[in-house]
Amino acid sequence: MAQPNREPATENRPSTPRWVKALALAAAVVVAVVVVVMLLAGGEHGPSRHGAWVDSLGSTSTARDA
Amino acid sequence: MGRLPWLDVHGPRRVAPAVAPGVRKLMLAVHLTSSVGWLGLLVAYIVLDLTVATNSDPQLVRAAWMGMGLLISSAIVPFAVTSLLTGIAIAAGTRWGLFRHWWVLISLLLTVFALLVLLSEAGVVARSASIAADPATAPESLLALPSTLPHSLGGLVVLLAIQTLNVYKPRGLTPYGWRKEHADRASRGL
Repeated sequence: MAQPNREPATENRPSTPRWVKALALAAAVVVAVVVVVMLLAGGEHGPSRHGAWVDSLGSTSTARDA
Repeated sequence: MGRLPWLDVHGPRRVAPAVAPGVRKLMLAVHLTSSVGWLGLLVAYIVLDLTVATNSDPQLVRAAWMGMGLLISSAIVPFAVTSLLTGIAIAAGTRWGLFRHWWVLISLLLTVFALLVLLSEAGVVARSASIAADPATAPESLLALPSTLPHSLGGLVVLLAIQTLNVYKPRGLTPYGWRKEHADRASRGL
């Protein structure tokens, strides 16, 4: 089992690893794509969107039943 | 949270444990079980989610929604919460720490993010499952219920990313971790 990495003792703080920067870049791209898709889909997203849809369906069903 | 620093319980660099080794091992077992279980349960959920998204048989879609509702509230959420809590608890007793290494910190953030989305989706799925379980719901309304496939597939990608990070453990100290490491070395006269 791997042990915690022993970083070399340096006075200067090491820069952010490349893999962290690459991951941050990938995450930014994913967020950008999601935002674009949301905008193209009408700018609505999230639980409230689904909830509103479900709620409206429920009231329609209730009205129909009544 | 996958295999996080707590796997280092046998490492020579661990700090004095805050809990007895037996208790820590038990927590580790629970953590591993809940983390891998979360991933497996999500795969089972995606199978049902795919059924909802692609099938046109109202009875099958109704059953799938009811299964999704049970699965997410009775198994996935408890496993996810257990995974996060045990991971944090075990990390507190090792030198990996929660904020010292980039891979641990990113794993923690991704896990918290995944859990927040999961909790949000659980409410949506519960409402849809309730509608699906209602015999009065018309088949066309049932088939029109939106699936949660984008979220569940996204969740799978996030959990696999966490697992990958925890297996490879890429090097790199955070600024906080570097300061702590520096302070530790200074205190030991290195």
